[in-house]
Amino acid sequence: MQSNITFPSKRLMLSLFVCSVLPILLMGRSFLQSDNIFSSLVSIGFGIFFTLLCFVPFYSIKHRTRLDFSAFAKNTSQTGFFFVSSYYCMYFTVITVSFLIRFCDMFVSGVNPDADTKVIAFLILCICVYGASKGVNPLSRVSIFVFAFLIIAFAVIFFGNIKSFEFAPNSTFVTPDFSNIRSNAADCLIFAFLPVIFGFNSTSTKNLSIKQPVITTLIIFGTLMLTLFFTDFVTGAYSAQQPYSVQLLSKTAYFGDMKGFDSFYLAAVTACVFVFVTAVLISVSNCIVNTSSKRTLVFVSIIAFIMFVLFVCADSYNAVKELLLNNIFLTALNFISALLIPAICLFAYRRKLYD
Amino acid sequence: MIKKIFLLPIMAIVLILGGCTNSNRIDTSSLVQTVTAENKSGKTVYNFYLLKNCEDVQSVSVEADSLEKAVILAKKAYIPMLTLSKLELYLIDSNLGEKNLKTDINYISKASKISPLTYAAFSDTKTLQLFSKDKEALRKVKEHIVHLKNNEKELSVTSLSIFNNFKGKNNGYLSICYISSEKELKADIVKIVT
Repeated sequence: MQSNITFPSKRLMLSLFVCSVLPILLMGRSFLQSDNIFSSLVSIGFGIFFTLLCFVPFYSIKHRTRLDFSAFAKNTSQTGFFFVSSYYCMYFTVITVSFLIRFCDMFVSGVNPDADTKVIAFLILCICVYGASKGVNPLSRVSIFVFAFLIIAFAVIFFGNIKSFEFAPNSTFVTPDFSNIRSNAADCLIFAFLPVIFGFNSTSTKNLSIKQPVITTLIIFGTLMLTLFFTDFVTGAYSAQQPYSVQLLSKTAYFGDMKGFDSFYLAAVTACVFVFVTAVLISVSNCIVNTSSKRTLVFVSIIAFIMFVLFVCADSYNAVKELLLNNIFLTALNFISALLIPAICLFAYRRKLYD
Repeated sequence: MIKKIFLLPIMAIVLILGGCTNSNRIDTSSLVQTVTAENKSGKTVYNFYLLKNCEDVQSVSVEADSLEKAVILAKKAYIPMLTLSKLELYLIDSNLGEKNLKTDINYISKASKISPLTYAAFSDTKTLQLFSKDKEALRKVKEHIVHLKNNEKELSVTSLSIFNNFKGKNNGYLSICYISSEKELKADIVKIVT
């Protein structure tokens, strides 16, 4: 909901980092399918470049006009705004359901096979609709606590695996091989949803500087690289046998006789999914500008219901599920949402200024 | 006040939908701590030793070609809720050879419920029979394995390291623990070609 209370943009960056940890924690055995360092580094480099590039239009809009993307689009063109906001509601629905599916699959495979995923998705959406009604400022405060817990969880997982760490690269690791470069690059490009969330929530922020999105992006990909490094040299070929690499890492962590910290992993991923879904629903609420909070809440509830329906469809039809879990499809949507449409809006704004 | 009245039925619905009324008590007689595979008259017999607080050792034995089949049979015939989520030790008779070990370790690697830090080792028949009499056998064997691992860094003692070595991580051979109890419990190293 649009609010007059401003808060430091560093806290928004913190929320974005918490959202970005979700794909890292839920990365499956097909993520960055390469045991070759050159291919991995190229993919990650491409991911960093593309994510930073996606920040440019939203940063530019915030810097020049002090508005978030939604208000800017409405000021630029009233007619076009309807299509833009409809498109972004669809985009947010797709990425939310995509990550809800991944989370529910992890929950069923790793925790309780008898759990009903529809109930889990429904509960998450209901709680996040309430969270979204409070706005981005409280969410950013909650992100501080989640971030602190993530530091503890990652510290436990990484330090608990230090003794098992064996840096023993084989010949395929160091021989250049770019056979899977397309899918590997697509895996790294899914983080481009972060600039979109930033673009829709930046109105209430103050003291934004260019360093913040750059440092945030570098930290996100640094975390990803560290996680991949540990996965490769602690769990090795074993990680290909299990669906979720970081969950396996949490199971192999030990301190003396204390073994298995998958509870930390589960708590971390659950906290991140709540922050992510709430952030997306707040972005959805910002898609409609200048309305009463009651109307906005009804709108957000309707979108959350549509998300739930799409989740049920994905649960029932495998083709829908495969599409929503396809990283190339998500990358294409990210490209349109984070680069193409903001660029068109900026172009239209400049034309309007000259006219 | 009205909000609180509405909140109560909503919370009740959430608790019911979340499964809180359908509590499944975790029965310790379903938790397997040790699995042994022994060779009895040319057939492979899997023994599942359960986590129990009483003095007697509780176990279930099934005849099967592999651990995966043994688990299915044990669930069907004896304990439907059997779970290997607390598995700490997997001992296999050295007479069964590395082929059985490889198959069973492959199964353990795919089962996300089983910890990748499960100890795995070869053993003689006497040690395997010890588990049916001595409740402390698990603790004693683990101590020997840990002690040997501390002295020999190349040794693979967990299902994780054994699996990775089978995948060719360690230059074509695998050092694995061998537990014997001729006069007393003893742990040695056995090298097998992968």
